[in-house]
Amino acid sequence: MQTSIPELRVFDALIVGSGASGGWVAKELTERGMSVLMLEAGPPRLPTRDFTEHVWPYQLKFRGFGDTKALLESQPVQRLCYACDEYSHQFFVNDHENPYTYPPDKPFMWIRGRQVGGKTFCWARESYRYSDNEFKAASRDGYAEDWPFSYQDLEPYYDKVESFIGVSGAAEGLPQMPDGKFLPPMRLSCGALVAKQVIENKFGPACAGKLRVTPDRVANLTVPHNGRPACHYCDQCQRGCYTASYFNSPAVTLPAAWRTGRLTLVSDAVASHVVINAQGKAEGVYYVDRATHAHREARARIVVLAASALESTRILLNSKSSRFPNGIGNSSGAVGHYLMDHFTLEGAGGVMPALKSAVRQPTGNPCGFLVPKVVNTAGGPQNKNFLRGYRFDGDASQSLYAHAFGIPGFGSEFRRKVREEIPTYFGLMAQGECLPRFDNYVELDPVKKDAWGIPALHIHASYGENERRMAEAMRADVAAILEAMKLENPEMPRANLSLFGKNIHECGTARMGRDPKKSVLNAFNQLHDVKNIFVTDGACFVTQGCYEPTLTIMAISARAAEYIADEYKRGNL
Amino acid sequence: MDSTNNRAKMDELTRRDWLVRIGKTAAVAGLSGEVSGAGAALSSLVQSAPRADTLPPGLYEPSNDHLTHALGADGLLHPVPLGSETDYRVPLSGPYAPKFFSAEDFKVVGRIVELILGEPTGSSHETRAEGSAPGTSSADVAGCLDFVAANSAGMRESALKLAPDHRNLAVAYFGRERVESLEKTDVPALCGEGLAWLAKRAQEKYGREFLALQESLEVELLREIGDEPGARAAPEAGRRFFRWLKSQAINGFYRSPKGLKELDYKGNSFYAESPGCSGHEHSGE
Repeated sequence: MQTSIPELRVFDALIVGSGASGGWVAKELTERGMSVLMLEAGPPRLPTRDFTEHVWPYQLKFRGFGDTKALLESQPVQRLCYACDEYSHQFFVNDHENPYTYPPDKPFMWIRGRQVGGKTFCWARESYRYSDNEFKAASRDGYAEDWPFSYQDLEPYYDKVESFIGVSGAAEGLPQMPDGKFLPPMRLSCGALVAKQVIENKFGPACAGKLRVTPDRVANLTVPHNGRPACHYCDQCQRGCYTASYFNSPAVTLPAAWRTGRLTLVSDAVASHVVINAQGKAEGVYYVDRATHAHREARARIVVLAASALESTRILLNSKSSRFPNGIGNSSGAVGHYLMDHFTLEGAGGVMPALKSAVRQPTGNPCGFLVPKVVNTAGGPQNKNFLRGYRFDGDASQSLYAHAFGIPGFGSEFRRKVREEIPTYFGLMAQGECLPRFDNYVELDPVKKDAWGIPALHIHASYGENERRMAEAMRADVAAILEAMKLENPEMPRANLSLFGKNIHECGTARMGRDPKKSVLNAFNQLHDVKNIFVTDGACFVTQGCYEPTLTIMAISARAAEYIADEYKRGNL
Repeated sequence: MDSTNNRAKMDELTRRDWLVRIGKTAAVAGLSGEVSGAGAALSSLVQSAPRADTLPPGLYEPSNDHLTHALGADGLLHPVPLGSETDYRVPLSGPYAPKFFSAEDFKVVGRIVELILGEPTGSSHETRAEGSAPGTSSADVAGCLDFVAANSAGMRESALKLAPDHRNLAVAYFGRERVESLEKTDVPALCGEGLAWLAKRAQEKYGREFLALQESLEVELLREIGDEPGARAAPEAGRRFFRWLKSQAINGFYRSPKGLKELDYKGNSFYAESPGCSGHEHSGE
């Protein structure tokens, strides 16, 4: 929907991006009386056309395996994401229209969703609060910087976000990972329940009882919430959700903003750069129409970048002028630097012999279990071989038919075995914190441009010594857990760390901080250099912890929006 | 106990109903290819959605009926709308016409699929894939195999044309072996060589064409290239062909309505509460 905007209309605020962060900023600003223009680079998604939940594999030409030729040709990067398949490829960008580059020895996997709602259609929904273990990590171990606020500052916004979007989870009372405003938790599967007993009994005491197995805290509704029905457990979340039983911005935050009557939403508007006036302040955003390639400019008194970490940073870098030759907000030289993405050790697991069965269990929980981080937390066991720490994710479920490939023979006896000898497979993954390093950075590619003539990013990212040492400890822990689980044919995690970018938790590149010489944004996501520009997405992260960033992005966005509205009223912007 | 009963009830009320309906849908969609009725139901759904007109395209109201979005007014599953990015529906109408295999080879492949899946065939010769009614599993599965084979050359060509940076990324992600497998696996050659071996072997061992053999002899021949321990050492061309056929038959069958039903799959469904462990199911084992 390309709504034409009156050329001269000046909005109170302009938000670039309509995902988790932009949705919250739009809701909070409009509810406080401000007029908001939202620019979204991609098209609107229509549930009746674009959602494929409840479609069965046999209804698809490629039986759900995907049109590999089309994926190779149009989405050679996006196809690497598990969710970019025959059902859901529409939620991911065309890689030829949206190129980026990287040095050959530093492969980076950039997964992007451009549409009204951004990546909130197919996010994995895990929602954990950070604590001062994350925000004040530098004070404890001396590496890098603290965040410019504490957990106490962010807590009310976590409360606010969780209460509005709905997060299911179990309160555990753990000091290192705060509980939230939870809807009832989902139940663990039979195998996960066994894992909980084994892990907590065997390893919990060694961690002062802190090693806990808890259902994933996910932004899925286990009871009706704010007019949205409860989850019906079809477990097809990444294909869209007609009942909006998990959080996505198009059915949750954006409608709230829309109903104020103060939101103008322009889709198919690819933002290029922030327009700066003679006084060095932002006066709008320059963008290109996705379909017609017409160049346009939109005006506002405040510009909020919420286009995802790397996209917002790309816009900052591309906002060059004689006053800001290295991009806007970059007097510190920190824009583009300190890129992070969690690394994972994957592929570990095995069959749980006691759960082999001829009886099929109901299945459909859109989550597994989490073992929260204990190592190197305040009061937890310390490992001096590396800084920071990691957590585990796991689940156990019956094989649908994957076991058939391992059953020799053919004919009715083969088929009977497939039907009656159903293994339960236990899988365990470890996810670790990536340290923020200056030399993990993005810059504008001097040559490569996207389909709209906007410079592409050149991305330098690799894991370092700390991640490799942490991985050794992760591997040892995974081995111990697999052994305690007494699995059949246990498999250790694959040797390699996950590819940088693969976990789609890219954060940093415009970090917050108290010191304008070392950081890009202040504690309220405001550029140190230009007071009417804000960056509210994952770009602002100072460190990453080992937990999914989206809930924290939303809490930070809500907090920044409140600050923006207050400052705007006071005439300070 | 309460929650167990509750769930059993849920299972009874919604899952069975859902699967019964889906079973019907598959039959109807598969045979007629008719979508206009369900399409009409789809647009009426949009119009009747409460307050939908107040939201701009791209924003949406949650549907308050879990089933409405999956089933049309006629109780049939909504098809993916024609012409949309997600329009990957199987365009089935009538018996599958092979795109890759010759008519004769398709009969052989269909027969092998029947043997792999252990379809009850009675006196084998008369019920070959060609003569099977569409909708029986082995005929559908043979169609899947043909479809995969027909698309394999284009897929391989695209894999070989990947830009160097995209190929690097694929290697970093999947590992060299998987990337090279996509580039090197020559399905037409694999099938051609496999069928040639089978024809030759049937002649030299029994003096007849494969399709003219009694079932017991067909099985005997297949065991030579099969994956059971103690199988006779057959040439790689035959064994590779069997491995391909079996893995494709597994994928084709266990993703079909009949295969999913046989597995008693209880996912992609509608549950009133989290379908986890009640703590009772496995305690007695």
